[in-house]
Amino acid sequence: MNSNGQPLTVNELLIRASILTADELEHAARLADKMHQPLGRILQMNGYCTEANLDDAANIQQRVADRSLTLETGVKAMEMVIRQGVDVDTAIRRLNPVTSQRQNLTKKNIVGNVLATTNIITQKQFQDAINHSLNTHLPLGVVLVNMGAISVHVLECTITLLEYIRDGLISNEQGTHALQMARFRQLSAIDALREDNPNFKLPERTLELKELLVLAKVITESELLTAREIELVEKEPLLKVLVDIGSCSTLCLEAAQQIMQMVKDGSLTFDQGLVILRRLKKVRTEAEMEKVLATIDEIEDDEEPVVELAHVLVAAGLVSQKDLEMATPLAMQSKKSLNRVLVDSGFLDERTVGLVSSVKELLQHNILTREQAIIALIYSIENNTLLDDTLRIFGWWQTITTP
Amino acid sequence: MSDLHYLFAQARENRGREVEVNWFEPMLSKTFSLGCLSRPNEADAIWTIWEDSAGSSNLIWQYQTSDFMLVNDMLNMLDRKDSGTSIGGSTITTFGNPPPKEEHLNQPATSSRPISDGYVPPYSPAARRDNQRPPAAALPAANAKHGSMLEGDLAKNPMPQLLQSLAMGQLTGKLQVSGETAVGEIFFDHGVPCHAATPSEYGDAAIRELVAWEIGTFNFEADQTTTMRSVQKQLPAIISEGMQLLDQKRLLKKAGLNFESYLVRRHKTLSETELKLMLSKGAPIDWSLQKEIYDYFSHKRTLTDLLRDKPMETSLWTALIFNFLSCGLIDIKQADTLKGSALGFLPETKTEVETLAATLIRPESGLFCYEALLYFLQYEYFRYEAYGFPLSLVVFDILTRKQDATMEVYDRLPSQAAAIAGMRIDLVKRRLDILGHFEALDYAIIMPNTKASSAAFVANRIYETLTATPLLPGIDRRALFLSFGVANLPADGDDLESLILSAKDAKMRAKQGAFPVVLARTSK
Repeated sequence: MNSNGQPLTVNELLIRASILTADELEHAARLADKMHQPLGRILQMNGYCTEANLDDAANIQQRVADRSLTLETGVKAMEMVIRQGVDVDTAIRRLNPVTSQRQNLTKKNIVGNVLATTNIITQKQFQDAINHSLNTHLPLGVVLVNMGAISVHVLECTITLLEYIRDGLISNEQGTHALQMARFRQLSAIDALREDNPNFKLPERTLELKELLVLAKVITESELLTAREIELVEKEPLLKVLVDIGSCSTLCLEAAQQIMQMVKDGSLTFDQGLVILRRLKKVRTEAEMEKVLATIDEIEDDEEPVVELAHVLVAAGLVSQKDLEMATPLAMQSKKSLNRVLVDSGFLDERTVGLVSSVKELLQHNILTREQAIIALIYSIENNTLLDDTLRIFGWWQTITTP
Repeated sequence: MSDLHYLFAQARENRGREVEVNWFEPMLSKTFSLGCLSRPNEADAIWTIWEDSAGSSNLIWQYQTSDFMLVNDMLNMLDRKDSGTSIGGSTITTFGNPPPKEEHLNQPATSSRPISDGYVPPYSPAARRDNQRPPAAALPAANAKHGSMLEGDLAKNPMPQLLQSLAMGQLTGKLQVSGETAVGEIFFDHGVPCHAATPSEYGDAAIRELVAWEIGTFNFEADQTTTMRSVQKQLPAIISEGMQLLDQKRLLKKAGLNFESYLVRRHKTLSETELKLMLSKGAPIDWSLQKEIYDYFSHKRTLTDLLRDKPMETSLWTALIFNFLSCGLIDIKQADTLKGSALGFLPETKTEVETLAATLIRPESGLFCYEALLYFLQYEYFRYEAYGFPLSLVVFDILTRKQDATMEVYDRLPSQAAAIAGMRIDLVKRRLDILGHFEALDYAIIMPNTKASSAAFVANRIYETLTATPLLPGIDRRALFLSFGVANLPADGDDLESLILSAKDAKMRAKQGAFPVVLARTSK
């Protein structure tokens, strides 16, 4: 569009780029009309511009029309093509590094490319996501999830399968097919691969540091996924990425490596290792680190908190303290559980009581914080979902488990 | 067909000698000849088709069979306009050095010639010597040399015919098809497809999809094999399904369907019986699936939304949408008519509205100012009062923290980082959610018609997206201090005052708690 909101024409572009004056254009237009010849031909015959100039102008005009170039950049690119004798692409690259950055991102982003070629996302979504990725400094996969173009499950499978391809464990074809299979049937990447080949096995491996960090709650699985995507696309070492994105400090990472070694040597149990690492999570200075490590012999496994069902019910606003005060003596009198009394007296239904009990378990095992537990409980009640599904929706479902 | 029977009878009478019939195709300006050789003690005859053009002869096809239909089909396929050494317009090339050209000996219209002992492959020197026909190139038949290649254009060789000809030729190799946006491949083992894949489909579904490709090029590489086995059905059945898919795709394209199109229900209310009745006119597809997808369209959805939320193969979603459309259940609306500004139809007024809206925005962050946020909140509260739609409010802090010598120091987010944070939040929130400044330093999102737990879900997503990678160098997860308070009407009060106070209180609890998102009811 030009400044009047009208689509930019090739002639207007030539005038704006000072290749042609308005008078010359008018003259040429009159001649073209008189001679029944195309205007372009008349412009060439009069030496106002060459055929190549017209082709370049048409090329730029098209890019302005489809909004891949602004009008201003289009005019400057046209001037550069004429004055410096470069081709259109070079001119645009020089004038608009963001455009060329976008083109580079499009080419090199294997996550986006595989999602686009498997038709999981459209080319338009791919391009939009690249733009958002540039503006927000988020990895493309995270942007696609935030845009609602793909689910976290699809992103996880894509990254896992691309890692397998990179490591030479599967072929491109197997990866592509497994991705579709995982998407259509809601399977994990490994299960999708086994659909084709039931004997498919990954090489034996021991627990890795990244998994130890998740189990110790130093990083979340969601952070790990982001780091894995960056590792895959940028070809940076994973641990460096984890430090770069602020998931953990170099100090914590070094400590985690030492702990891993101590667990392997047998000088620490796995659970003790996790507890120490949990305590090292927020360490920022070497002094703090030494303080924690000095008490290493005193460290025992984390105690499980005592969680009362009544507390969960009140905290979630499902019953008031007053209701609870009424129900407790009733439960004692009738020798029934508090749950049963609350159900019998119509305060709660069976499903809610079941959910509360499950949430209580998660709290007791330190899997969720109190705030998370209440959110998960209310979400499951309000949206009639299973607790496991809720945890998956929120990204709080831990797939990495203790060996 | 009777000519074929006659030719075969002649060959049986002259066992060990090839009988041949020649004819001229005026449309192609070429002479073809069909040879039939019946050898002693063998029931099936060897059929050979030659093409004579511009002084050279090419072996088109050679196969041992008693199936006259097959031979007839092969002959019918010659009845196509094209040039070069081809069947149906396919250019045939052979890797390696082509055999030397030899003079073609014209044969009488029907002739009998002696043939050497046993069957001789057409490429062998013996074959050339005996048949006097140098095949400059040939269709890579079952006995073709490794590396033979068949190439062509889908516009001239539609996929169904191409697949049929490869099957009839009982060829072994890989057919690779380069379409408009993707590449697909089918492996044949003696004319039977054994494995097929496109980037989005696999096995039978991939062949169905490939049959529906109309633009692109193909090449067939003989002797390329695979151990993969993904094709289950018989080729004719898949082709027939593919043709149906193609018809449906064409119709949907004509109706304007693309990935950004909205699929809008035509009837606001329709009972299950009425739905069943209307769908009975369409193709038989699983009723419960059709019902599920139809119910899914109760909200405004694009094709992309559908495929994201209900992933399914191309052939299935095409059939479903085709059914809904042909049964008059949905309309396809273009994205432009629904997306973008709702005031697009009033271009001048729209600009004035945008100018007015700009006065409500704080320039440094691009977000609504506090007063504007309260103005919108008041309106949403009225809506809640009038219709009882739940209303959620998320109040949140985005601070940076630094470790001073003795304590942690909290600071406001630099404006550049705040702008990036705003863009990240925009990706997560819905268009109808209103993001703005809250009081002096905080932010808030008004979420109309949203339950508290769903608002908490959005708050959690915002937390994750703000901390996924650094907003700016140095402003990363460790340097950010975030706290979100989520309150809701009617869950946390009766009026606007209680909503705001509950959200602020929950945010204060989030600052002190172990998790940055707190539901107001948790803080009571």
